[in-house]
Amino acid sequence: MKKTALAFLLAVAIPQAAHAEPFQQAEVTKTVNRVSLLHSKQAAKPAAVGDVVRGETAVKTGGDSRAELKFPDATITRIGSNALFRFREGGRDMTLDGGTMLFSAPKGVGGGQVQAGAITAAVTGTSFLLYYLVGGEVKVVVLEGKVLIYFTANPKIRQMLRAGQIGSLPAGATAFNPTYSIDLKHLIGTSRLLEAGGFGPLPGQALLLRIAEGQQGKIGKLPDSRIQDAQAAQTARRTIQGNTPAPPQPMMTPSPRPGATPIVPPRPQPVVTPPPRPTPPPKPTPPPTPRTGP
Amino acid sequence: MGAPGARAQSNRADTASRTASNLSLTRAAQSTVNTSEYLSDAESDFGEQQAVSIRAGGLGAYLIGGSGLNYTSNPTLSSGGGKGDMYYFARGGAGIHPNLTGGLYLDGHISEEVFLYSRNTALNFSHLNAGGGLDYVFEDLGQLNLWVRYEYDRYLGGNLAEFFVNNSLVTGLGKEFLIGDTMAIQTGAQAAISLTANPSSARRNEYDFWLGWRWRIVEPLELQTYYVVSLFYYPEGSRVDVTQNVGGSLNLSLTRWAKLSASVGFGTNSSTDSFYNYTVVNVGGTLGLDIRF
Repeated sequence: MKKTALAFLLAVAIPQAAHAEPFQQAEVTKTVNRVSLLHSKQAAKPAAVGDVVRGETAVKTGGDSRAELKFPDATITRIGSNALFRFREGGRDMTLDGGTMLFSAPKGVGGGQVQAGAITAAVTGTSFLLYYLVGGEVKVVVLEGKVLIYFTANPKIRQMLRAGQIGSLPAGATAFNPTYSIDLKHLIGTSRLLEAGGFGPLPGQALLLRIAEGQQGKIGKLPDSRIQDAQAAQTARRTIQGNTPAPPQPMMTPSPRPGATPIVPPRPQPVVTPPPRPTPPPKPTPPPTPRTGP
Repeated sequence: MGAPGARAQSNRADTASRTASNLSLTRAAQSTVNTSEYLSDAESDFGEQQAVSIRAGGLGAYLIGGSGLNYTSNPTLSSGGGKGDMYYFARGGAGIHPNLTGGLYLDGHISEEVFLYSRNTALNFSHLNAGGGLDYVFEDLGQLNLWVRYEYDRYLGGNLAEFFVNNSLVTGLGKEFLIGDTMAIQTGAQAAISLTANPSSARRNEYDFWLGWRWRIVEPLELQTYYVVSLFYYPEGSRVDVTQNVGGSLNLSLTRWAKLSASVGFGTNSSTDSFYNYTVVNVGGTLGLDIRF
């Protein structure tokens, strides 16, 4: 495996909206522990809530640190520990150089790509988590919507991921691992890029939880079993009574009690015609017994 | 691959130039990171990834409940149409669904439901269902579900006198096809072979096929429509019934474990014995509970 093969570009892409507004700036809305802003022409400075980040600035996090950026179109990115994140001003491209990030964009605001050396990601109306170990594995978990991941160098190698699915690419691999579904409820409960990390709920977090709850359920028979249960019970009754010979009718029919209802309307009884009784053959006349004399 | 591929192409050059200019920045950023700490932090930030198929680790216990008021146009399911009636419905139950290995789950459940009619009180009944079996989820086939279960059903009349008991072996498969974020098509088939029944005259084998459409209109509100066709074969007498049910419900999730439903359904049965032909319309509202542990 060539070294360059390690520098694969994994793209996570979703079709862009027709009139997507480019990213111009983002506001730092949360910082946890060590978060700094790196500018190519200035010394690094600690990030603070309310700082405006533009394209020429990178956001770097230290160990056990996190940050949240919010774009004017309500797109949210959260960056995990030991990450370096930036975006291209005037486009919808982002870059993650190692670490983890969460991307959440409302529907209709446009798509784009997130790139980071080996990783590129883009999203419209989708939430996903991205994990990139520098020189190592890449993982993508879709929280909501669909995400297409592919090698940027060879887009024919691709995978479509749906909510709850994880796609991964081991270091140096030339093909994706098979996708599988993970327990979203558990992931949502443990990811430090969500509420477990001290962040507030994402817009549409209730929807996320519904998707996660849906994973817990069984795909069983369709609803309204109530109606079918009633049909089963009354059909059984009707069948049993329909197969029960009608009792002999009393000569005097008592007057029905007020409000009393027969369980099942009586099945019409067929008129039974007795078979014709065969006419007995004429008794043969016995021959006269010869009288015997005494 | 057109759109993403084209974007990839167009961005590649830009990426390359930016990658070069930022390489030193990146190296500077990562150089101070201890690898094990880096891994640990990254994993913690990302969250624990438990495959659904090996998720459980517990009983997967749940409680269900429900109560509602309904109208049925033909409570006796008579071929003449009958006179409409209201009925009250209540249900309670519990179950477990632990994962055994891979995509294999154990299923155990028990429920009791009661139907109380307003005027046709002689139609009142209660239904006990208990069963268990195995479910298998095929992850590679889009979570296709396959199940095999034993089911026990006991029906008591309003006077608590047993009028029907059935023991059956049930097998089926179902799958949900997602259509975007908010819609899904559900389809499935199931066969329930009656092993024994009392009285045996009502013993029947059931073969169901269904198609559903689910639409999450807005977050708490969901529309569910369905069509179910069921074929019933009565070994005694060789009677065959074909029952079709079509309907829908509007479900409002009040909490993660409670929802309100308004439903309407139409059913029709065609039998080789015309005595059992019927049509029925059902309309109702239900409060349902589903608490999962």
